[in-house]
Amino acid sequence: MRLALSLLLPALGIALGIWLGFAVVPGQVPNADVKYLGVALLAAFDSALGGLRAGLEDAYDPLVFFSGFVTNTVLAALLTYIGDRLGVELYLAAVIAFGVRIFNNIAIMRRIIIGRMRQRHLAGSDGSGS
Amino acid sequence: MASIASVPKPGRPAAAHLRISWQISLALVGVVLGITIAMLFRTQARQGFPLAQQSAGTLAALLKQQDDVNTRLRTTIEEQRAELDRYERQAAQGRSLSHVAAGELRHFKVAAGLVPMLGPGLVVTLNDSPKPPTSLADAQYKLVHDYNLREIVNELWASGAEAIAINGQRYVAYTPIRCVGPVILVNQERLAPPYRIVAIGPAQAMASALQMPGGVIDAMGPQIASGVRAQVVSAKQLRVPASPALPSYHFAKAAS
Repeated sequence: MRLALSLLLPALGIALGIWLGFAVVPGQVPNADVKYLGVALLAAFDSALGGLRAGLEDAYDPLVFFSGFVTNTVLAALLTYIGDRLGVELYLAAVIAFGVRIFNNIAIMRRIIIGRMRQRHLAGSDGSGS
Repeated sequence: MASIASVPKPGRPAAAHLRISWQISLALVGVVLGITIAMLFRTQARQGFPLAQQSAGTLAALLKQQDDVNTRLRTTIEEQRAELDRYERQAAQGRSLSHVAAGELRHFKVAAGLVPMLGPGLVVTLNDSPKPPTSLADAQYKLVHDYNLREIVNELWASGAEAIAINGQRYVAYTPIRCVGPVILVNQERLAPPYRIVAIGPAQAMASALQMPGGVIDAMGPQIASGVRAQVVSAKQLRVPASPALPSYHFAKAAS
């Protein structure tokens, strides 16, 4: 219950962003820059999941969160750019790194959530049993 | 005030403060995430069906579909034009002033090429060489080209033609003749050889203008030597169809 509530604000943020992207931000991305946008999307997604996980673990630190978001995005874009210059698909490195981290974070969050549910269930059955 | 907020109180309040903080920053990143998702989605939607990446078969099917649509629309034009004609005739009946106006309208429609024309004239038939070209350079000599048609039409106008059609496409003031790959477009209509140019006008004068030494057919000498056929025949009764549609004007305005 508390978890669902705590996800409300981030979900609202994503909804607001999608609305902004469709209705307010003008123009489209040129085809050549789609790669960059894709990598930026992955970086943002990774940061969001990382922040969510840290929040669930009560280990959230805003400085770590925002610095990670900015450096990850910039580094990913830089890798993509260098890869484009060199003719090597370096952006794949960013895609794989972020992809692996996203799956890791989701797995860890799953464990945390399942652990909490199990605890609550045990506490609840104890209460009803006595 | 600030010190109160930063003093860690025992138990829940500090934890709640922390929780709200990560939710807000997550929401901020969520906004960026959402904008990126939306922009990527829009970009992909625009790329949705890139024609250049489709197979030849798909393209051919698409072309066929559009051709069918074109044919249907053209029938609609003809139907509506007939209807318009009927209305004009009905309106002209009874009143002499509108009768005069109708005559004038008729004149302008003839001038614009919106009326099929009958009369004597010339038929120029051009056909590709029966032997297929072996290279791009060879194609220059074994095929009939858009510039051949343009030169012949130009010469026909110059020698007194009053109405011209190529393979049933009325040639009017705004008709382009251009080459697109293996076909020639006239009025945006794809034409295939043989090309039959029908011109109503003084047959004798037009024929000699076309066939004079150094004239347009003479200039096709290398092509004719490679097998391209050019034939000029006069005829007593020819029919030139109406132009399919009037152009729409987006930039030019009448000055008076």
